[in-house]
Amino acid sequence: MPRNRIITDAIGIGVGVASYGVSFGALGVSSGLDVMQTMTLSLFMFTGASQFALVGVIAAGGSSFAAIITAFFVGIRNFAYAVSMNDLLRVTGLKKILAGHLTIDESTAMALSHKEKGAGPFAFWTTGISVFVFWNLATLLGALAINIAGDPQALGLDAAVVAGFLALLWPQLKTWRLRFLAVASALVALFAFGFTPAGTPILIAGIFAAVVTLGMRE
Amino acid sequence: MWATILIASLSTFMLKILGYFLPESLLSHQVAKKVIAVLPIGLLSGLIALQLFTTKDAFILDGRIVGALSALGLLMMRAPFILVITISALITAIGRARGYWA
Repeated sequence: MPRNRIITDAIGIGVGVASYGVSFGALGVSSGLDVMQTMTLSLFMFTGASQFALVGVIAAGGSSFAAIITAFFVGIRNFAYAVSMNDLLRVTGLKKILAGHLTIDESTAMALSHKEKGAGPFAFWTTGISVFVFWNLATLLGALAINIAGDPQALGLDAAVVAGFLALLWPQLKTWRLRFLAVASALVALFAFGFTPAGTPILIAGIFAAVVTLGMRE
Repeated sequence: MWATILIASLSTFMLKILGYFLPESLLSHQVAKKVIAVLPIGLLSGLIALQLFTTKDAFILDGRIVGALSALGLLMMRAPFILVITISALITAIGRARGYWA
């Protein structure tokens, strides 16, 4: 089993995620959370897209309810990951809870990409732990740095947030049908923005995407 | 604010844990598969649109558009994540400092 190779890859992924973590830390604090609150999200929510979504809705002036629901639905893919990781890891008791917490895009992708005997679980745990450590250190760094650096807008951080979301979305748009769906959902959100409370346009866009997909024939 | 953070953290955590306690047959359902695949696409697209074109209560066009377009270009060229974020922030910030856009 290529243990060394897996460890090197896991650290590499951790370092890559760290760049993103710094932006999250900075964004959290510039959206009105304090350092402790921003860190709580990285430690206990520990799923980047949901964290960004939560902070994004709060920054846009959305209600708590809208923020929570959006974070929840953005994180729903982790549920699918968990089901397949449970099948692979076969853990019990406390380890199940720990595995659950570490079930994210990166750990799942690494586990699934190692088909050699026994390598999948090793890749899962190594990547999960690596990302957890790097993600949290990076969040702290970003949160403290923005406290010192000041005006997030002058630094172009508001654009960086949009760029971050685009980078999350882009790999999911593999077909033209999905790209079209993404643009349509964006338009629906902007349309809803005119007459619904803050935060809800995002939910409406999500529901729109789901309903349209279920309504389409293969 | 704390309540929002704790409830949201707990609910996303439960999503992960629940997957370890439910049978796989539930997820192999076609409707569940489709919804799980496209829901994040719809939500993220909506979020991007709002972050890009609105403030708290009005529509707006500013330097973020330039940042987003450069990010999109970099993504199409398969640039790494850190580069996409940094360059889009940098371009937006430089243009603002020089007064090209708001």
